[in-house]
Amino acid sequence: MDSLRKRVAMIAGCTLLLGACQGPDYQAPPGTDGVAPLDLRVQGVVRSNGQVAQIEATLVDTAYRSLTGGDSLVLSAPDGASRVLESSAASDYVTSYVAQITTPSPTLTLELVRRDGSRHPTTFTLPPGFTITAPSATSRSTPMMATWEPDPSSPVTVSVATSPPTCSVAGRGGSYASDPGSVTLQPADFANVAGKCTVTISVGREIKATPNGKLGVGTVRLAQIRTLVLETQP
Amino acid sequence: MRVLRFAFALASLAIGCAIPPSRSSTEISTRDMRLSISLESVSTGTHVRASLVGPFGGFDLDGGDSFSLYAAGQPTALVSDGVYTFTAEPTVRSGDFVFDLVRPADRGARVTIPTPPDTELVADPPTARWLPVRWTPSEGFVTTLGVQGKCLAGGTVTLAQDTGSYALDLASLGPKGGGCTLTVTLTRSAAGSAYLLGEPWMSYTARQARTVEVAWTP
Repeated sequence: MDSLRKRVAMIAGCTLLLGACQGPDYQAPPGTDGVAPLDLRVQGVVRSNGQVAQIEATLVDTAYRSLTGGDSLVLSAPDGASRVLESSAASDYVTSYVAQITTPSPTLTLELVRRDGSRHPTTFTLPPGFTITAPSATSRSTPMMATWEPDPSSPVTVSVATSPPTCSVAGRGGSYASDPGSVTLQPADFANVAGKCTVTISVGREIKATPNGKLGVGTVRLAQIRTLVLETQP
Repeated sequence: MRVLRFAFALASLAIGCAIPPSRSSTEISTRDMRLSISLESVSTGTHVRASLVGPFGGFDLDGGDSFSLYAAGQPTALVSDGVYTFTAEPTVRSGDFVFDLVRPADRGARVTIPTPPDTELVADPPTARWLPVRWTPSEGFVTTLGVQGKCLAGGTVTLAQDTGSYALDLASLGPKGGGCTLTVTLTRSAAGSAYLLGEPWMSYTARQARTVEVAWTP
């Protein structure tokens, strides 16, 4: 009898332990099926480097939503480039969707496409595109100025990195409320090292999207990013 | 008997506690001393501050012991606060600062602290975005340029190399609109330490600061 009691107690204990190991009972994010498109808000970032446009987005109303019931998201450009967003970095609480298309267009459309074929678009207009013009000389003994077409309506962030890192102090550049249209690297910005030094200049313009169209828009950052790589000499 | 022993131990402790720690340098080995020096070169000269302490704090220099300063080769009086801090205000703004601890009965010590070459900070006429400044270049010091003014947020730029000139990008320093008088400060600093007989015996900081004011209209 005692042996039977012990066995029952052991089985009960093991069952409790296994239950504890399973952890809490998570629920998958609720779906978009049946939610009105304007009640959903797109959040994330849309960016372009002038050749490729990317989007990283989530859908939210009172909670994050995952695409269900045959719903899909499609990113497209006026030149015909188009792609269905795919889920990425999914978790129990949030599902992110990403897509990339080859287009120079600063105007991009995101559509929620329902199973019945209805389409619910919103349009994102990125800041104006630009090109960074390299300095005419790449000697670190003279100032080097990289220029681009300024846009007075967009704040801009300029970052400068070097390889090897010992070539220069980090953090040259900065954030500008009014786009200056250029960055100058001076001899004093570089450590006194011999040999080549690779300098990477990144310029980013960013604004916030405003709601429009038939799909709700939350916080969406719209960015134009350009990068210039310079091989500098002493 | 036990009571007597206990009373004797208690009395010994009390007597030991009553004896003040040594206040005379003659009873302190040089090896047990610690020297800390701070130099700040400004437009009127150099602020010198040195503290020389023993294991129990300050002490008197006795028995012929002396602590002297030579600022750029010139003997300079060090004023003691009577505890352990020595100060001097020489008018020299650069050069080697030599601190000499001379002890007839123990090891002496000589410390030489180099400072950046003397310089003025000159601001050339600024543009709407750039403020060019110039100074005498140097090596071996951390060089920064700071900008302050009511019309911008301001900030500091640390140079990778002291070339003696730099154009400050005022557009990256948070302009608030409108013009004002800008104060630009060049700072060059160094810090170091020295060991004596394997012990960390001396530490120092040396700093040079120069400022210039310039009117700016963006």
